[in-house]
Amino acid sequence: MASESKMIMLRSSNNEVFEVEEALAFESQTIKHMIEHDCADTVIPLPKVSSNILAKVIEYCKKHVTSPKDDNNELESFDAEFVNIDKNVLFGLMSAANYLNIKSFLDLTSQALADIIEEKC
Amino acid sequence: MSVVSLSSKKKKRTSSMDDKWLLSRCTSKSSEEIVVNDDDLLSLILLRISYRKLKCFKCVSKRWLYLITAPQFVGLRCSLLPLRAPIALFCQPCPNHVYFLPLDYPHNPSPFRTLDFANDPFDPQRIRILASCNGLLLCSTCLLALPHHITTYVYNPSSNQLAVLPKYPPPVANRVLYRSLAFDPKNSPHYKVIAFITTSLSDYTGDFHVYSSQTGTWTLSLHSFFLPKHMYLSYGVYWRSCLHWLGDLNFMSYGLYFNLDAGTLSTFPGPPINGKLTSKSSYFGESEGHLHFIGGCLTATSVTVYEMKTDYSHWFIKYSIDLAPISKVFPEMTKHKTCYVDGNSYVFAALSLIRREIFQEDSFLVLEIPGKVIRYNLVDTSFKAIWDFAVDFGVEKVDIWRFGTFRVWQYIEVWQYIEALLWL
Repeated sequence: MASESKMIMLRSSNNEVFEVEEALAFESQTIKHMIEHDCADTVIPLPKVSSNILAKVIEYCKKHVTSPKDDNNELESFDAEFVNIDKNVLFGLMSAANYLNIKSFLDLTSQALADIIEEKC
Repeated sequence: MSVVSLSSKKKKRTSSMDDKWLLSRCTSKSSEEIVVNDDDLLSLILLRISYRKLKCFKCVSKRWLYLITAPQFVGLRCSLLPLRAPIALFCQPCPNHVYFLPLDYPHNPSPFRTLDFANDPFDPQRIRILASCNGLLLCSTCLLALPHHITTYVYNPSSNQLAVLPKYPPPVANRVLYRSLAFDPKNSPHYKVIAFITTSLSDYTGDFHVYSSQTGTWTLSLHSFFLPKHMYLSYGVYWRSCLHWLGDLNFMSYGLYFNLDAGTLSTFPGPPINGKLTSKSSYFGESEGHLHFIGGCLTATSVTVYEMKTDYSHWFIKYSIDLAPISKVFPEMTKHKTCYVDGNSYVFAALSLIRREIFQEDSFLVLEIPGKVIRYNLVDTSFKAIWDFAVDFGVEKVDIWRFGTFRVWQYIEVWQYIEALLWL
C-alpha cells in the first residue's frame, strides 16, 4: 500500500522550500484556503515566515496530525516542551501562527507568552 | 534555493549559513515588534494575563489602556477565565458580623473586613446580605424602611468593591418584597438584580423589575403578577440562566423560575418530601451546574439529596447519606433539646452541597450539627468536623444551640471578575 498523499511545497521568506504532506499543510487555514481556491502554483510562497520558524511550525503540525486523537497527555507534554524556548523565537512562532491561521498553535504560543510576562513582571 | 524534505532532519550547512543566521536573528527580533504593535495579537496575549497584572498594564500607554478596557476584550476574557471552586462558606448571624468558614484550609484568611461600607441613613449597623451568586453579594439597608429609603448594593468581598444600585423607577412602589442576584462570570461580566415590588395594598400582586449592570438601569420585566400564598421569593437560586424559588413545600407542590432574558415566569415541580419539612434545615442550591434540594425533616434518619433534571421533568435521588455513623462520632446529634421536644431522631441542618467533579475532587456535603460544622465526603463517605463554634467563635451551651439561624452562602474568590463592578 503506497502512501499517495499529495505533497505541498512551501517557500519561506529566505527562499528555502519545504515539502510537506497535504494533511499537515491543511492545519494552516491560510494554506488550505490558498490551495482550495487555486490561488497558488506548485510552490506556496510564505514571505512572512522565515525558515527556522517554518521548520518549527511544521514540526508542531506533524506532531498534532500524526498523534492519536485520544492521547491528550502526550500532546500536552509535547506542547509544554515545544514552547519552552527563547521568547524571541516564541514571538516569531506566534506571528507565524497568526499569519498561517493555525488556531491551536496560536492559543499555545499566546498562552506561553502570557505565562512569561506573568512571571517576569 | 535548496529543497528540504522532512525525511532529512539535518540542514545542509553552506557558506551562506552566516547570512541565514543573521536574517533569522533579524526576523526574530522584529517578531516581538510585529506582535506587540498589532492590536489583535497583543490582545490575544493580554487576554491570558491575570487581572492583578492587567491592572498595572493599563498604565503602560493609552493604547494598552484602550485595548484592555475594550468591551470585546472584556467579554472574551470571561470565556477564558478559569473556573473557581467555592473555598468557603460564610454567614451573617447578626448585622455587623460575618462568619467565614473555610472548607479546605482552615487558615484561609477571611476577605471580609467589616460590612459598614454603606451609609444607611436609618441605621448604619443594619446592612444585610440578601444573596450571593458566584462570588458577588447582594446587600441591602434596613429591610423595614419604605421602598425609597432602601438601598441595594452589589459587593465583591474579594476586592472590597461596591456598587450602589439606583433607586427603583417610579411609580413609587408599595413594598419591595424580594430581591435576587443573577451572575454568571463564564458568560458575561455583567450581573442582574431582580426585585419583586408589590403594587396592590390588599394582596401580593406586584411587578418584577430587572436591573442590569450593563445598562445601569431598572426595567419593568413582568407586570402584575399575583404571588400565591405560601410562595416566597427569597433566596433565589440561579441555575441555567434563570432564578428559581421554592416556597413553603409543606403547602406548595411547585416552585417558580424566572427567565431573565425572556422576562417570563414558569413553574417547575417541587421536590418530593417525606413528612413535615422545616425550612430552616432544608437546603436548595446550585453547584457546578446542578440544582439540588435537601429536605430537613424532623424524623429523618438519613439525608436524601435530590437533583433536578435539566428539562425540569422531575427530581431524582443523587445521594443518600446514613446519619447513624455520623451520630456515633458526634453524639450531640441525638442529645439536643429538639430531639425531646420535636421528636427528632438526629439534629442536623444541611448548609451546602459542593460538587467538585469539574476539579476532579470529591464532592461533599456541609452539615451543621449542634455546635459544629461537618464536612461529609459523598464519594468515600468519610467525614470530619471542620468548624467548632465553641472553639472558633466562643459560642457556648451547644445543647441549646439554635438551628437555622444562619443562612450560609458559598464564597468564591472573584477578584478576577471585578470587571462586573468596574464597568458601571
